[in-house]
Amino acid sequence: MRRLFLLPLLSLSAWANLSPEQIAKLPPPATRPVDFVKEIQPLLEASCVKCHAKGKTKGDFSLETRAGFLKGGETGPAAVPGKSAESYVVELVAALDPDNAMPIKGSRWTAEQVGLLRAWIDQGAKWPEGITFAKPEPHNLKPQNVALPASAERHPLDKLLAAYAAGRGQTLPPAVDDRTFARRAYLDVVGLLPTSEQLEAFLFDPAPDKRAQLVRTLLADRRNYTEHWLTFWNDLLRNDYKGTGFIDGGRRQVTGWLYQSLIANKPYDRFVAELISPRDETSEPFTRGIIWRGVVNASMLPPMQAAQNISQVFMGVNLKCASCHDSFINDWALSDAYGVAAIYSDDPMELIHCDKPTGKIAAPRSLYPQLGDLDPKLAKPARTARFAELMTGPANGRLATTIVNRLWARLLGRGLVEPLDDMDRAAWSPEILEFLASDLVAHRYDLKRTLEMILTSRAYQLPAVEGPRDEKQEYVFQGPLSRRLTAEQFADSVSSLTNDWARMPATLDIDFTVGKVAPPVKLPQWIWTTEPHAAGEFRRGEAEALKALAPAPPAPPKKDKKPEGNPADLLKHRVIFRKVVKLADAPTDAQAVLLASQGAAVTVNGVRAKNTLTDQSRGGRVAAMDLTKLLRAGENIITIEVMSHTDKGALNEDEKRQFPNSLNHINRIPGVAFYARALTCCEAEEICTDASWRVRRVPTGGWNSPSYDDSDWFAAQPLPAGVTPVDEGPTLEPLRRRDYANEKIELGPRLLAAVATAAFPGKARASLRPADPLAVALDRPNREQVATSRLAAATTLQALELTNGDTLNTRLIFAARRLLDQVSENPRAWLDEIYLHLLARKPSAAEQTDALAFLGETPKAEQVADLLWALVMQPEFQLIN
Amino acid sequence: MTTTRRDFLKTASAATLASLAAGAPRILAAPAAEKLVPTADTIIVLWMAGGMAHTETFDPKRYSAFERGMDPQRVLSTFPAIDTPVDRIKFSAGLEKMASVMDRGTLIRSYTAGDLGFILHSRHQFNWHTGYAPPQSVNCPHLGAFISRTLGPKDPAVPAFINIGQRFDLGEGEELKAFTTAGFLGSEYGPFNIPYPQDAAAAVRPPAGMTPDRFANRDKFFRKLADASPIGQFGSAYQKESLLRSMENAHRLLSSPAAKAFDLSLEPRENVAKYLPPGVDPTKFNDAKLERDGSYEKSVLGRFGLGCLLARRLCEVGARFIEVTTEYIPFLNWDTHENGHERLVSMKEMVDAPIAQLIRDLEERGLLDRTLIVLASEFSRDMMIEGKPDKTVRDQVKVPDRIDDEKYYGMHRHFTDAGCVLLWGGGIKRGHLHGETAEERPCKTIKDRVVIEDLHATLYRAMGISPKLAYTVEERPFYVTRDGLGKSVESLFA
Repeated sequence: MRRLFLLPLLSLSAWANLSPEQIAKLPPPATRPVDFVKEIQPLLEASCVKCHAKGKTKGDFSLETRAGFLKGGETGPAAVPGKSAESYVVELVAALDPDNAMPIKGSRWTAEQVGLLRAWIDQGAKWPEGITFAKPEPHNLKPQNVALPASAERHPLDKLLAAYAAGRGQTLPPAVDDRTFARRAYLDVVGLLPTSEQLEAFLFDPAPDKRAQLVRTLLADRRNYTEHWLTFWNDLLRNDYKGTGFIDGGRRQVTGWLYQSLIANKPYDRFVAELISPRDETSEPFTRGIIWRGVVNASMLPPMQAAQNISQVFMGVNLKCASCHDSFINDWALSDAYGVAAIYSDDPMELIHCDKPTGKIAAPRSLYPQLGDLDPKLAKPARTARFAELMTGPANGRLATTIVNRLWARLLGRGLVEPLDDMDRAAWSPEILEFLASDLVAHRYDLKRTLEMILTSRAYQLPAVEGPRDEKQEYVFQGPLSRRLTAEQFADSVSSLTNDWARMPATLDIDFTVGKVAPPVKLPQWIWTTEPHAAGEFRRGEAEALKALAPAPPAPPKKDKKPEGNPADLLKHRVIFRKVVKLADAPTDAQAVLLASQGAAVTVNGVRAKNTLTDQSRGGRVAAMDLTKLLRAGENIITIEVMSHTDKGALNEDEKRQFPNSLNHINRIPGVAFYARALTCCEAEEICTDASWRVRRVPTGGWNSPSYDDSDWFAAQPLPAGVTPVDEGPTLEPLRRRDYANEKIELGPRLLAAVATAAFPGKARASLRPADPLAVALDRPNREQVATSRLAAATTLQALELTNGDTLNTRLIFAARRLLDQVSENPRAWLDEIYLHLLARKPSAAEQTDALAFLGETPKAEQVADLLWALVMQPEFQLIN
Repeated sequence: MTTTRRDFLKTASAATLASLAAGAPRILAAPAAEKLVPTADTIIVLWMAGGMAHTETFDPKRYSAFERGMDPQRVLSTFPAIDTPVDRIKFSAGLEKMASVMDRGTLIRSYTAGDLGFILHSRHQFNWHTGYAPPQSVNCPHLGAFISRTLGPKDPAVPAFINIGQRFDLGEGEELKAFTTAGFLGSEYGPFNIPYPQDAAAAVRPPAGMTPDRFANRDKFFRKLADASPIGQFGSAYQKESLLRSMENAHRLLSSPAAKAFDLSLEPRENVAKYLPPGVDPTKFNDAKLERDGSYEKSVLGRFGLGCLLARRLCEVGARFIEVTTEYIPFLNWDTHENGHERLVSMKEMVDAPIAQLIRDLEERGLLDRTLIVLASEFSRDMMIEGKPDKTVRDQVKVPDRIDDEKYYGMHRHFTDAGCVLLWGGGIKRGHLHGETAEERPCKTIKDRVVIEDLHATLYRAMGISPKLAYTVEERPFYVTRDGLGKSVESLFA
């Protein structure tokens, strides 16, 4: 802040008391009439408004209005009308004194510009009524009511669209044909191609409103809707199954909560409220952010991540620049970003400006004060609840406008407002945007309603058009843009072609019993042991736990066997659970899950089961495994080994001093729950842990053998109702953060989801799988950051992956082998079916001839695979037209 | 009215077709004042992943042979020093071949890694490869992606950004993927990954089991269908065109002479041997158990060498940016947390012959002058100090008061206050030494410190790119060196 004169305010003339020599140095005033709007306003906008307008008042000076301008600031009035030589502002912009010149940031004024200013002042500093440099009202924030124009059209959006087109003298072409519509609708609502049967059923349906009916039917397919839109929300909520930051529990998933919310079609306001003000750990990870290891820039601490992500995703506001300094690309200030971040911070937050502490503490506040007050004195849970109230309250029209804009962009290829993350801009049709927003709000924030509204409108059914080549030109809506299949849609299309789907999802977080995706399951019991360690020894914590839960410990075993093998500390605490299971038949499929308080391993008939999936953030305490090849008809010996102690991550002296109460890696209850579902031709057999299992600490060898005698083992104890083992938690670096080393995770809530996954009927769509090289090549994003749109361009690396890569090739060969009989039997019919499925049309006569020639007289799997490849490489296939 | 693709191509202008290139981020006007004349057209980064100890490689200090009961405080280097043709420069024993080509390049001894708190490999690797400290609010591009985006490929058939030797499906693969990417620039500029150099040919060949005839027929059929597909009827001609164009580009690579460069089996055997440590069988590489007892290093001894050979071959057909790594897997290779001395014997064997041979071969082929080779690591190591001498950071490794077991004999802690970077070719001074480190512990940088943005600025400047070049993402200018602050170390250029 420039403070050159600390004198009290004197009369006007004292300030601009330039000597005649200095006045002579000033550039002369222009000698013609100066127009404020054309000549002065742009100068002020370029040089002054960043610090002295739009709410900013550096040096206590605001030139938002003429009155303010003349009044001046700390150093006195800015100008004297009629007397430019005595006007302080002239002295400043002329930079007579280089240490006292304006603007502080930006280029020096030229002599000509100073002259214009002088002339304007001399001519009376006239400033047209109504012109201000005040912060303009944000676009799309205040809910508006939209009156639908009178129109022959019946659909409300069509009325608005007709008015838009008429206003531009546009004639809209007729709607696309049924086959084009069907392909679009299926891909857009459920992310799948219509099968040839589904397509033909639709084409031959005589109902006049069949398109609307199709839309409703597709929206009602809860499971497929969910597993398609899961991708959209995973991108937006930076939710993924694998990725950076999961190490040491620094990052968690909202997958379980998200899946459930989509199946239930949770109203959007509740959806947002549960993310912004989470009631439990299922939706908390979004605002929890990623807790990175090591030194993290102040702008990326978890509360700042929350501020950035909430603002971007739900409000279309970019706070990223404002996280380090007042933004240069919009009007958001550092204090705005910190205001929202402070809502999420456990401790007071000091504003850090470009890595330097400022000494100022941020007061929690929401982005737009016009939405309501947030009392900074509230404690954190009440604070986030209040913030959620403001965000989802009736005054916040931006919540609805942002989401309907995203949905519109998803379905039509370009938003009503672009870019999607910058909602403070005018839509190309404010009426359509406001109508969709108010319609959403009026219908309990039901997103499916908005989708239906758009999908049944004429806008959606227009023929696809070329995108605008130049974003600088004004956008004119002429129809939807041609869109590329997403990586997930491409993968699922290939799966549906071949009926070859992945068997397991990538996560153990989803309770698939919701929406009846998985059948009802029998929950296993949590079991543990009350057997004392040798010589009555217990690990820290176990003794207390035992006292609290167990009856008097049983008598030690009759035969006092000495433990064999490695006498190391670790083995002293090994606990083995054992069960003999009889199966009528060898299973065709058997998936199992294990949840344990510590590292655990399953052995079936002497073979260690390999984990197919582990919950990364729980360090493998929750794991899935495939037992299909290990289980057999007749007797099966299942043993589970649980380590009941670790000594990982002992704190050093510094840390012990800093966290004197840290109970790093306390071990409470070594318990386990195990579930397996063995499918045979005719039934499903569930194998669960319960009191019939046997358990022993450090038994002597051979316990995997069928002839082993476990009569001197103990019966496993089921934990009392409501009690679950405790996962000791991640091994995070505790320095400079609160003591995450103590963050324990209750395994109980995880049980149903894990078991439901084992019971999952084996059709995991691409959205439920982690990214593979093909998906990455097709632009599936790394969700370390929020991704609100994907680049759809075709790249050489994609083409290389599609042409040479093993992923696609293997799948097509597999498909070809499956389809070969069908192809050989009736190639023409098969060709029709393939074309209908992939392209929603029959092949032309020429295409049929060429294809049959390509297949040859006696096609082999290779020819079929190659034909399929040629078809899925067609732009016509890869684009949603 | 429908038009065929042929018609479309006839009428579309060259500019239109050129603009079908991927991706949104626009280049900000490069600073007008800087008109940089490139001294190199290709960069090869030889990445010593895991933290390569400077006192055990290119900056040897006083040597202490192993003795039972020795005091670890006295141990600075576990190898004696050897001479190089350059007067002031000695190397650590085991690097004789590389020593012999020191007169072709420059050694920087004063590279200092950033202060990222708790020392984590993946974060320092991210910092080294992108120039920014993680995490960032946008998806950061890799050095190779920036170069690919700015300069494009050197030969249109060779992918501009090639990454050799790293697998991503084990260890900290997810963390590595985070920076081995084109980030916000778009996947067009992403890496062409070749984890196993000996299998590189497979990456540019038809899929396994497909004969060249079948491959050609398949492609012919695909084109026939595409050509007949009426464009006007189905929406975006441009989208279509860009899809077909990308297929053509891919196909061009597969049938070009460049594709042969990927095939190491075409290299005469006596040349291959020069890139391998003595006694190594080039046919036995793929499966090496991830044991921390030194067996992993011994069993993958030749892989890096073959990567260097592949890099040379790709250079010959016009590569732009190649990275060859010894591979980062936690606790393996350069990431020595125990048995440091013994493991360094293998590591030096792994790199010495191939790097020297790469330089000699490029020189012989007249390519060294325009090819910049950079050898670097994310940070260095010390026996006693963890991090920087004046910062307390959590100790990764315990050091006993007296060393009784050879497993404690070596540099096991992370040291970020010094590090070696070597540069050859591409207009860099020959036989030059930059920077100095202390002779006693802490062996930290005492002269001419080089930080990552300045190192990158130097590399960019060699390629003719301004360190202030920026691309816009979400309206933010994102500079190729951190905030545009990188300054090229001019004294390194000839």
